[in-house]
Order: sequence, then C-alpha cells, then structure tokens
Amino acid sequence: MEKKLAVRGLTISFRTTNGRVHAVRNIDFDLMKGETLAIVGESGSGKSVTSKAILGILAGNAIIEGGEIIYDGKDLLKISEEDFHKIRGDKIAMIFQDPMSSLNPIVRIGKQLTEAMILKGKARQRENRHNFNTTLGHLNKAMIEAIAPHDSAKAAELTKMCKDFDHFESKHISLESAYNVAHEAALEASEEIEALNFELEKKGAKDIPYRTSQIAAYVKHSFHEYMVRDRKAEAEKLLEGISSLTNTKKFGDDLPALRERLVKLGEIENEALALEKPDFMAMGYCLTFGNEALPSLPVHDLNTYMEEKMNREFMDHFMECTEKAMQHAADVSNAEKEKAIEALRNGRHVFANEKLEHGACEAAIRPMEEAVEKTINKLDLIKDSLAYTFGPGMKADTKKYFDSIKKNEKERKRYAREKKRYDAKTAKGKTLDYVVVPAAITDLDMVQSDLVHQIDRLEEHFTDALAKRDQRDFHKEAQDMVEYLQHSASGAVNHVTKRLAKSRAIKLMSEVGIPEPRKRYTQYPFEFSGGMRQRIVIAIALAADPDILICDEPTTALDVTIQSQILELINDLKARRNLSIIFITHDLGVVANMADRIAVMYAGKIVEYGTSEEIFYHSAHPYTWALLSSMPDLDTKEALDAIPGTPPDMLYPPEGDAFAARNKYAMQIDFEQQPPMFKITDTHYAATWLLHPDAPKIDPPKVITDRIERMRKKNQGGVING
Amino acid sequence: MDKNDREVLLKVEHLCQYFGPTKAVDDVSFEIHKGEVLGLVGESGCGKTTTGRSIIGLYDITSGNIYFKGQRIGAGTMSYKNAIQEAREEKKNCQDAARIKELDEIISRNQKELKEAKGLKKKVDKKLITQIQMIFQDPIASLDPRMTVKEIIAEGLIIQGEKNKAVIDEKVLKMLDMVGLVPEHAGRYPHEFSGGQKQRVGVARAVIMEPELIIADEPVSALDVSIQAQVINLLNELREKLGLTLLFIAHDLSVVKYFSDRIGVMYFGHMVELAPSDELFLNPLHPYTRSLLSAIPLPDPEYERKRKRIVYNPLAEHDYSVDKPTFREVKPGHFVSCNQAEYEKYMKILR
Repeated sequence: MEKKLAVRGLTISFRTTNGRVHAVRNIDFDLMKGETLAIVGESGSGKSVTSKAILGILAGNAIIEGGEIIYDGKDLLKISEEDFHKIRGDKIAMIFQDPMSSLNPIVRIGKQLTEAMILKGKARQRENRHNFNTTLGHLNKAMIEAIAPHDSAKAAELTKMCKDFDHFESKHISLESAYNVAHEAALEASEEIEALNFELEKKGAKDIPYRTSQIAAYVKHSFHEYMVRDRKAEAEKLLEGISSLTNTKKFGDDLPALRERLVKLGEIENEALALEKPDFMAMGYCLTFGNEALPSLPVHDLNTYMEEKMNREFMDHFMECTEKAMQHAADVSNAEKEKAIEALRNGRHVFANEKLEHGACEAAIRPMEEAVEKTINKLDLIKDSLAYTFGPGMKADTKKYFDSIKKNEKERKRYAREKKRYDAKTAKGKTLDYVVVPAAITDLDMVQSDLVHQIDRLEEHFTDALAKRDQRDFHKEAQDMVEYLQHSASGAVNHVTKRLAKSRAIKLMSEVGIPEPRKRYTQYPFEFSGGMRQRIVIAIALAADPDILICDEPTTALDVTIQSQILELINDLKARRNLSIIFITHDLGVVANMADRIAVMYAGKIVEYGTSEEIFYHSAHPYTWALLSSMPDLDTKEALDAIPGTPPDMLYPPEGDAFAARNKYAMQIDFEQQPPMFKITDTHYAATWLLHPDAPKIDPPKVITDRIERMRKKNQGGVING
Repeated sequence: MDKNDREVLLKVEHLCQYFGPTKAVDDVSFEIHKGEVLGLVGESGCGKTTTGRSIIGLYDITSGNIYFKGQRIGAGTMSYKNAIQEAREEKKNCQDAARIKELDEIISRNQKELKEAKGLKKKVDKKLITQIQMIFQDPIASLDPRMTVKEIIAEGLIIQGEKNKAVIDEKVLKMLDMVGLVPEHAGRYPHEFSGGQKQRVGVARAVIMEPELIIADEPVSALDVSIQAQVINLLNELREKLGLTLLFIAHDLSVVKYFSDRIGVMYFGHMVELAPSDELFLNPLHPYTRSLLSAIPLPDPEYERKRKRIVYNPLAEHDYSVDKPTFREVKPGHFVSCNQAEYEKYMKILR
C-alpha cells in the first residue's frame, strides 16, 4: 500500500505565561492511501494539536521541537507558507469540531460552498496542465535517451509521437466532458422525476411549477449525440405539455395527467442512461487522425472498430516506447543510487564526530545532496520522499544545531539570573505568584543523532531499492503512466463554471443530508441548526476533492441518526474517492466501524496502536481498557467503571507513565520510568510496563471480556437490534 | 414495576409549544412517576429540550396542561381560544335554538377556563416550582463566570429567602461533598475547573433546592468519555440517596438506556413511542424508533460492519391522508403513535 503521510518523532509544546505546555511528545504514525486512522483520546491529549500541525495551522505560541511530517515528498514542518497554500484545503482538508465558528456568518451558504470550488478549479486546471506538460516532456526526453540517443531523425519522430498524443488526448477530453454534462443532467433529471412522482403519488408534493421547470432544464441539458437523441422530439413534446399544465392559474386538478407525462419522461431518461458509453479516447484519436468519417455502427461495434484502429496505428507503439523510457529512467536512477550510497558513506563520518564543525558540515552536505538529487527519477509516479527531503532536512538540522549552541548559553544565563532573583525574594519570606520559566535548552546530542540517522536511513532505503530493482513491472508502470497523463489532461480541460459549481454544491448538500438544498443554497449560516451547519462544513471540506481528510470530532455535536449518517457518508466517500482519513474522536464506539487502524493517545503520547480488531478485542494498555469500560452499552446494568481523577497537567508532564496516577494496575516502575513501545504483533504496539516479561500477568477487566463474549454470540446469532 | 402503585409526580397533557409558525412541540402527553427516570430521545430539533424547558416554565406554553404533584403549574390558552372562536363561527350561521344555547355554554365555559389559565402564573405556588430543578447541557455557558462556586450554588437559596449565612454555608459545603468536590473549591471561579467539575457544580446547584424532580438536559454530552462516566455515576448515586425523579434528555441512546426506566421517543415535535426501556429496545414498533435504534454505534468492529441503518421516511412509511394517528397503548405501558391500520399491524407483531 502506498504511504500517504508519515509522522516521525513529532514533538510540540506551547509557550505560555506559566511555562511550557508539552502538548505532543514524540509520536510516530503512518497513514496509508485509502485507510482511516482513528486517533482516540481525551481533550488535552494532543490529538487536535497533531492534526493542526499536519495542516500547518498551529497557534502562534506553538514551538515545534522536533520531528517531521512527510507528505508527497515534502516535510510539512519545513515548507514555506506559500507552498502550504497549495496543500491546505486542496490536498489535505479538515472538518472542524465546532460548526458554529467554522462558517462565515455574513456570507450565504451557497457562496461559501462554491468559493473553494471555483478558486481551486482554476488553480487545479493550471496545475494539471503543468503536470501534464512536464511529465510528457520528461517522458519524451527519456524515450529519446532510451531508444535513439544519437539518431536525430528518430528523436524527432518520437517527439512528434508525444505531440500527437497530446493533441488527440485534448480532443478526447473535450468530447468526454460534453458527454459527461449530458449524462449528469440525465441522471439528475431521472432522480428528480422519480422523487417528484413519488411525492405526487403520496399527495405530498410542494413547489410543483418550480420543480418541473428544474426538470425541464435538466432534460434539455441531457440532449446529446450519445444520450437522448432518438427520442429527443418526443421528450420536447412532453416538456411542452408539462409546462402548459403547470402554467395554468388553476393548477391542481390535473395531477394524474402530469404524473403520466412525468413517468414517460422518466422512461426516456432511464433508457438513455442505460445506453453503452462510447470509447472517447479511441474516438478522439479517430476524429483527429483518421482521415475518413466514422462508420455508422452501433456503439458497441463502433468501440471495437475505433479501439483496433487506435491500437494498430498508435497506442501499441506508444506504450512500447513508454515502457522502454521508464526502464531506462529507472536504470539511470539506480546507477546514481549506487554513487549516492558511496557519497553518503563518505560524508557520514563528519557528522558522527564527537564535536561538529560548521564549515566541515556544510562542505560535507553539498556533495551528498547533489548525489542524492541525481537519483530522483522524474518518471516515478510514487515520489521517493526520503530522497526529496534529504537535502533540506540536513541543512535545517545543521542550522538548528549551530544556532542552538548560542541560544542554549543565553537561556542558561537567563534562567540562572531569574532563579537567583526568585530565590532571593523567597528567602525573605515572600510568596511569589509567578514561577521561573525553565530554560528551553535544545538537546544537541539528539539533533546530532538525528543528522546521522537521516544519512543511515537514506542509505538503507537506497540499498533496499537496489535489491528490489528486478521486481519492478514496467509494463504495469507504463499503463499507470498513461492513466496519470489522461487524468492530468482531464483536469486541465474540465474547468469549473459557476453553473457547474452550483449544481455540484447542491448535489453535495443533498449528499450530506440537507433537505431542500435548492432553498437552503441561498440562506445564511444563522438560519441553520447546529447539525445542519456541521453538514455544511463537511460539504465545504469535500468541495475541493481532497486527498487526505482530517476529521476533528466531526460528529460530537450531532445526534445518533445524523452521526450514523455522517459516518456512513465519510466511509462511502473514502471508498469512492480512495481518501485517506485521520479521524479524531474521544468516543471509541464511533470508530469501531470507521477505522482500519486506531491510535490511542494520552498526555501527548501514543500509548497503544493497532488495527481496529486488535484494539477492541485484544487491547493491552490500561488506558484503553479504561476507555472501553467507562462507557455504557445497551446491556450495561452495573455501575460504570469511571476513570478517577483528571488528566495530568502538561506543564509538568509526569516522570514515568503519564496514566500511572489514574491507573489501578500501576506498578512502582510506572511512576519512575517511561515504558517503551512493546510489540505485540506486527501491527499492534502498546506502551505499558505490563507487557514486560517480568511484569505480573493481568487480564483485561471483566466488563470488556464479557462484552466481547456477548457481542460474539450476538454476531453469530445474526440478531441485530432485536 | 407496576405503574399503578406509584404516585404520579408530573403529568403533561397535550402540551403544545409553538414559536410563530414552528410547532416545536405538538400535542405531547406523558406522566412521570415518583422515583423513576424518564428518558427523552430524538434528533436535534425534535423538541425534547423545549419540552423540558416548557415544564419548568422557561417558556409560556401555547396549549395543554402541566400538573406537578396534582397541582396545575402550567397551562396554555390556545385550545380554549380556538374552541371559543369555533363556537362563535358556528353560532353566526345557526338557527337551532337548542344548539345556540349549547354553544353559549361552551363559550362561557371556555372563557372561564381561559381566564383561569391566564391567571395561573400568579397563583402557582412558588415553593412548589422550586421542587423542579434543571441541569443544563453546557457546563461552561450555564455558570456565571463572575460568581464564585459558592455564590452560584447558594443563589437559589438566597432568592428563596434564606438569610442565615451559617445555614447557607453549611448547605453549600454539604452539597460540594455530595457531588465529589472539596470545600476549598467553594471560593473558586468556574474557569478554574475542568469540564466534569463544572458539571458537578451544575448538579450541586440543582440539588441544593432539595428538588423532587430534576430535568437533566443533555448533562453529559459536552464531556469527555472518562468524565461522562463519573457524572453518570454521580447522578445514579444521588438518585439512590435522595430518591430523585429525573427527566433525562439526551441523544446518546446507550446512556439513556443505561440510565432510564422508561424512554420516550420524539420526532418533529411529536411523541411517537413511549415504553419501558427494555421493552423499547426489545420490541421497537414505530418505524422512527427502529431507525433510531439501528443507528447506535457499539464498540465492536465485527458488529459495526454488519450493522445496517434503517432509513426513516415519514411519507413512505405512513398513510395518514384519511386516518390521523393517535397515541395508543399497544401493550401495558407501551404506547405508540399510530392509526387504526397500523395499530392492528403492531398488535400482530407483538403477538
């Protein structure tokens, strides 16, 4: 599975008047493509801070003490605000906890929904065009290098082939988008007709004239060569009949007549929707380069004919060349990797020294960075994030190291001075209402080991890649490449108009369960209830079609049915758009269905993580047990196992396990030493001394085991909700 | 438990609460027996909070009656006004002398009732009303940030005319102890407390008036899971210790099921089903209740993957064009809003 996001050693604290609040303390996790990672914990456990760090919206007093967040080959903690604009909202979107404060009170809902679509639509079009052009350019160059390095005539031929591909691909997209508009309109018409028919049957229909006019508009947009063509005249006649019916003043007696016409119209649209879709890529090719007109055949036969023609004349050759080019690029990159490993080995000793020297370090970084940069294969669709981040990461850490030497000295002096003054005052018997802010000293050894670790990790990564060089399937990669090019091309051609944005917004609104979306579209946020507002917020987050969706307690403010609907919606969207989701919540019950993996956070640390089954059926950390047993389910009768006390003050994080003070299974060592992450299975880890071989064996609380047993019986019996 | 052996503490009859054209609560009737917990569930905007607030008198109700310990404490005027108007309309076109006399009688009777309902506010025993107290949803918004905890808890006592400082102090300290806070907390301000502690202050403020009925409006939905359990356990303890009766309004069905003896399900201002909690979860009859129960998430991945939510669409489920639904008892203690055809269907299911 492709790794979408990697968080390593993230440590964040907040500067406050009372001192430093250690909000997040050295956490690691990965997010794979198309999976949901749930982060569960109480308020103040640092789960929201983590998500805000990923989105780059931490408060001004936050200090990122260490770690990295890698997305798409970039470290999000180190990129500029300018670069972040391209990621925030577009690639990584967020649904906030409080729907009251995340909407603009003086802008209509419709505008707020479409704003991002229109703005991002333009930016995305530019970006896609750029992607298409550069990737095709790289491909072309690689082709020439691979097939005809010294033959200029052959090279020109290859360049022409790439240009031809560009040419007919744009024809393909414009044909397809026209078809899509008609198809979408037909779909909407059919849905609307069905809804109206149903309500007419139940005698509960409202706004009939308005809705029929909407239907008429959809039907008219669905007229297309490959959608509604043969029965166009009939549909037009039906529409006329409907409008003459609804336009009369005394309307209301002719409902059966109206229904009859609607049913017929629905039939026409459904029939059109059932038609086979032509292969527009092949059609684009035939229309651009085929010198004769298209033969008049049924769509199915036409597709086979066109496909054959395209493959024979162009595509087979193109794919072959692409495959060769990609193989060549990979070979070049591998050769460079061997050199880079050498360079890394040469440079490593400079950083492994007892004491670092500024000049030597900078001099050592340069050749390493250059060697690593050369290994980057521009034709790789999955970017090699370690290679991309190596140079900037090394430079930033070196800078941090040498800056900290001076800063540490200053901090120490300040602390000594203030402490002296404080002690002098308290010695006189005063009770002071402030505390001395402890010195913020950067651990130089840690920074240095980080530097060495970066080099070692990259070397290992390269060695790995070289070992696996023969396992790559270039035929498959070439197909992916063509698919990627088509995807970028469609992004570049399809632009978002206001009309399109509105219809999409209305669709989104009904998707997130807002009744009468057309009426709601022009209303202001204050006209919505809390639950409805949250739906709007979700719709806005989805409007830009993001890669990663961060949900920060999205259903905490909603009631059960709506919560269930929203969770289903998020699951559905995840499957359909292959989204990666970070789902933050304090309610374990909510994530049972949502999460593929769960990380339980307490006091700024991940205390346990594993797959959903592992956390619910085989949890190992006392805090997870406490969370699971403190909430009632439908069969709970006895008193709840409440967790005593409150979470610790993160100004002074406890020495050992942070949960020790509230933990009834705590041992002496829990108060003294922080437990490491013990591995239970390949995917399941927990940080508790109970897993140490010397620890006494403690079973999970009876409440949990009983529940698991009970649910197992229920599941086998297949009885759900009585 | 047999409901007949128990004293009816609160009785709500045909309660309607309209805000302009919005019918927030429409014709809701139920009883709460002494010592029991009645849970009210439903989605946001279904009128469950409005019901609670109408009972305690935060709104002037539009129509219906509320009886507490047998005394009427709230009355609406709309039903009388409508009856008078109807009678007058009919009188205009009526020639039959006997009927006119009848109508006159209806008018004068309703006018008397109307006058009584209007004057009720002044007549209601203020001491009686203080026996109903409320715990609010949001512990942050419901505590005055400028008052100390002691002032907040003692405010009700002082308003009721308690002047003796020693008595107030003693009572406040007793309350703090009861809800699990310590005496030092009395002098602090709300912002110095965590969410769970604030909610404890809210509970103490309600309990100090020695109420018989507490209306708890989503008391735990704003709290963290571990703190939720603490507050639920506290309410349970108080209930046993003081013999409290509770109207428990919440949307978390697991909590309501755990906490309540009987549960009422509300949908768009109507009460659609009312039954003892085990009965409701065992035999949900109304389609909305079924849909609500099918939406409860449980902490079990395997079950969750199998769970299918039932969608409720009132237009598709019911045909009320001819026969309007009424609130009928299908089994002792189990009420459902249905019409005759549905009633027969439900009876068949129960058998």
